[in-house]
Amino acid sequence: MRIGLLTEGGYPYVGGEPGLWCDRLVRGLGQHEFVVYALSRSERRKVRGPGSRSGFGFRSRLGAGADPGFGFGWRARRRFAECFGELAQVLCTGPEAGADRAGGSGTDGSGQLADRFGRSLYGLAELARDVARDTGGLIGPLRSETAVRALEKACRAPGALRAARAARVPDLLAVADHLERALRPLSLDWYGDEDLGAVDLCHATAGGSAALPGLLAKHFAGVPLLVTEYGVRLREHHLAGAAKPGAGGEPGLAVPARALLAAFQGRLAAEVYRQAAVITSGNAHARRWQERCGADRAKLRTVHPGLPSSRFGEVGEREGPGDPRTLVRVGRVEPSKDLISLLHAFAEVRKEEPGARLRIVGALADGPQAAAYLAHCRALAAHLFPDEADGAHAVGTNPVSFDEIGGPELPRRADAYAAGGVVVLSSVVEGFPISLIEAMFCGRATVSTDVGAVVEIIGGTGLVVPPRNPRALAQACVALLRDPGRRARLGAAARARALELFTVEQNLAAFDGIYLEIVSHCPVRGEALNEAGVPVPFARPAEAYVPGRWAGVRGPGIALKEALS
Amino acid sequence: MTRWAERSVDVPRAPGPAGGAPRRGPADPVKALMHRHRDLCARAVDPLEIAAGLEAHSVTDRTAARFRHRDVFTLAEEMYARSGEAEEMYARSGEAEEMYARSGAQGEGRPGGRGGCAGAGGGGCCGARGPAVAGAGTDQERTRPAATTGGAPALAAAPWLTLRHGPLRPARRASWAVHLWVGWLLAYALIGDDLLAAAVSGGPAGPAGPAGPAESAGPAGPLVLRPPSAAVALVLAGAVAPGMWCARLFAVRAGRCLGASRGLDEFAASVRPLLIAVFALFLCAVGALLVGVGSLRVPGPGAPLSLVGAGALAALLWLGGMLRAHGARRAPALVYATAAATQAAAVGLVCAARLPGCGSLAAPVERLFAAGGTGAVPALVCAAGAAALLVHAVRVLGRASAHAPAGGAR
Repeated sequence: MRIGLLTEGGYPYVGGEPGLWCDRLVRGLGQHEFVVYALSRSERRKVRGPGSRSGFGFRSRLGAGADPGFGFGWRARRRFAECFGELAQVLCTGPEAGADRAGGSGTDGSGQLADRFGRSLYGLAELARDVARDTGGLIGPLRSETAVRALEKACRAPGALRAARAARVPDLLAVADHLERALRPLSLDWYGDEDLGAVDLCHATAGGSAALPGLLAKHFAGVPLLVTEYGVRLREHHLAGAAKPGAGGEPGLAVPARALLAAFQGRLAAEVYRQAAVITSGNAHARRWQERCGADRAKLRTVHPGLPSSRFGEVGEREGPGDPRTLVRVGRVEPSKDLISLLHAFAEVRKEEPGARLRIVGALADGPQAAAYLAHCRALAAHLFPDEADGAHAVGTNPVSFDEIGGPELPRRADAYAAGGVVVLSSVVEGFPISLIEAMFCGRATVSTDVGAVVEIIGGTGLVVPPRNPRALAQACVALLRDPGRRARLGAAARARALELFTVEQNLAAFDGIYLEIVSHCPVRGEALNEAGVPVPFARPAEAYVPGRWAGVRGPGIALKEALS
Repeated sequence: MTRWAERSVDVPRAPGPAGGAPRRGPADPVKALMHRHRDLCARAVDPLEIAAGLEAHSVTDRTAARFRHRDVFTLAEEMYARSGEAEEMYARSGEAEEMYARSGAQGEGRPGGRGGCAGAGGGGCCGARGPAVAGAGTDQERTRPAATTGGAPALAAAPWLTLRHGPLRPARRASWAVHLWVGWLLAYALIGDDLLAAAVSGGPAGPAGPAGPAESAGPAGPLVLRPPSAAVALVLAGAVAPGMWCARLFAVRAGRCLGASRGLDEFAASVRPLLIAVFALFLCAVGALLVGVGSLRVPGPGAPLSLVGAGALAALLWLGGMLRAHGARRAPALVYATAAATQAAAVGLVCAARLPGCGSLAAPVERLFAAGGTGAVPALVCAAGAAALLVHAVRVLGRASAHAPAGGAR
């Protein structure tokens, strides 16, 4: 199969963080042919990995033709004004107003709005395809006075969002600017018959702008769309918007502008979910967000992220379960990990089990705050636990030690887990904690706080306590420290569960299965026409789309197309 | 809270397991939660934003259950609905004003960021140029070529440098054609009067070649010996500094208007008079410069209209620079090209009139020449061009989109 992998910012570039799983996907599913369509934010970056052949790497000249005026004639200008005016109206219409206009039933109103949003979006895309390709795309028009006027008119219209009504000129300009950047994929020339029109399946590796080319490929060529969101884009947008202004040196947007942009992101997410054949999420939390944003439950699949398990195999299969009196905590050091609570819990543990030790392993998170936090934790540990020695003539050590992976004591990550009998996770905020999965691969019994996806990961193979409850954490740790049999049983179960659910292999197999499922549901695209322009039935049988390669495996076929966004 | 308390007095307490226990915490737990996250609630534009913020503060579905909600989303919806009144106050609150004031300040800072130093540089360059031009003005034959050759590059380099970095910096790189037309306009202002005078008085004999009359003037013609007009050069160079200052003034004021106006029409209504006022200010500065230079004893064609032509050219270039600094490219290029072509046509027509049977071609130019001297042609052409550009600038610079902060397009 030929799969168009749509990425934004991350994957094919070195330093793009969320790209690891894309890399594994492209290399792991060698039976498929991948074409990476990358939207990148910065001018030129290094492409990851020696194996990726960016032979016909190609960069759309976007941004070069930016002109605040129009590049095209009055007919196209009117079409643009109509489409963009419609888009602006949809963005400014509040959900309650939409429901009122549709006669009181909420679903009809929102459905109608979603239809109008889609229509205006595809109208703009068709305009960009037909007219504006050689005049710098839609960049000029989207920044023009026409666009700003359309936004103003929509904001002042009756029934507009309450927040949008107060929009002033700087807000309108900011919204036009952000919309232009978000809609830049519309001006790309990726939707021809040789490009995205020729792939069997579009796989968007994130929602939002990254999925926009997939939407257009579906609209223009009927290519089915698969959306994978390990972090829900809409949620990230809201988190960034909720941050206080001025934190990054940038003056934040005012309320009206943020309201309009939030409406745009929400509508875009809903449209992506509506058009996608299958939507996958990394965990139940992301899945809940997707459902909340309008994803159909029947399309949702959960594909857990995969981790390479081989590094931990040796520790996991070892008979000895590590030092039975040592608790280990692995992960970055930052305030959200709540090491203070862990230290207090350990004080309780020490009352019950005087010989217990605690190893806090992990690198500092970025920023000066993390360094101050680590210093604070060290001071607290020194305060709570005096140094201890074996006898009157030995040098003492503190029962709590702070280590980093890569030092002489713990050269590898697996050694950190091997050092203790019980692995503790004390965070108050957590997404999908990798360190918990690694501990499970190592066959360690775990005690964790009930945050993020912890319960989903751990199943029944470890102890879970409420966050910010040192006493409960201490009781659970003591229970495990005192019962080696239970520790071993839980560790074995955890390892079995992790190998079942969280390996790279299962991740690849799940995606392979989803690819085949999607292609089997929408096999034939593009009707064949004879010379007279009449459709020929059965000209292209479904068997022509054979999943996989006809003649052997050639290794990963990767091509790259990129564009600035 | 008080309402709940009153009701508990009126209604007999239902017997139950929790009935006798004293209630811990406030009666309205969501209110306390809203107070704790009041920043979040005040800034939120969507219930999902509150939900995301709550999750970042470790509020989970289980926490939400304590507030009698199914999940974080419904809790966030309640918080959003209840913080709605606060949002109504937004338009009058201090935050809004502060925000727009800041964005206005940002708008000011952008185009004129380096305007101060660039303007000072322009002024400095003018100061340094003084001796060079004065050298060109002395009658000593030996110093003149040296001073001219030294002064000319400085004359060309200083405005070029200032225009590249000041508030008149074009939003996008100009094409070679624009450079060509501007070069022609400047060159004509410096030597064009002599060229036209020579052509009209019939100095160089013989048919003018296609390469232009300058080459055909012959070695004995007056064109080679006459230096470029120092007075015109002084006017053009002197106009750079007030031009920069006026452009910066306009940028600062327009940025302030941007933050203060509530609608696009209001913005246009406040910016268009501003542009006209700033342009008038610039004209006043140029006029003062003309008077000053006119009273100096520098060589150059004595015709008063040639100095006026230099002033009109300065106005034309300033308006074109303003338009290009705000992203409009086509109109300045078109007007520059038209003006340059008209000037070239005037010279060409006069030369062509010498061909047998074409004597009437030069009639309009000659009539103009008779009425106002050689300076009349560039003065008229540049003034017409400046008027056209002014009309266009009033239209274009009144649009808010012309004042948008430079986006991430580049």
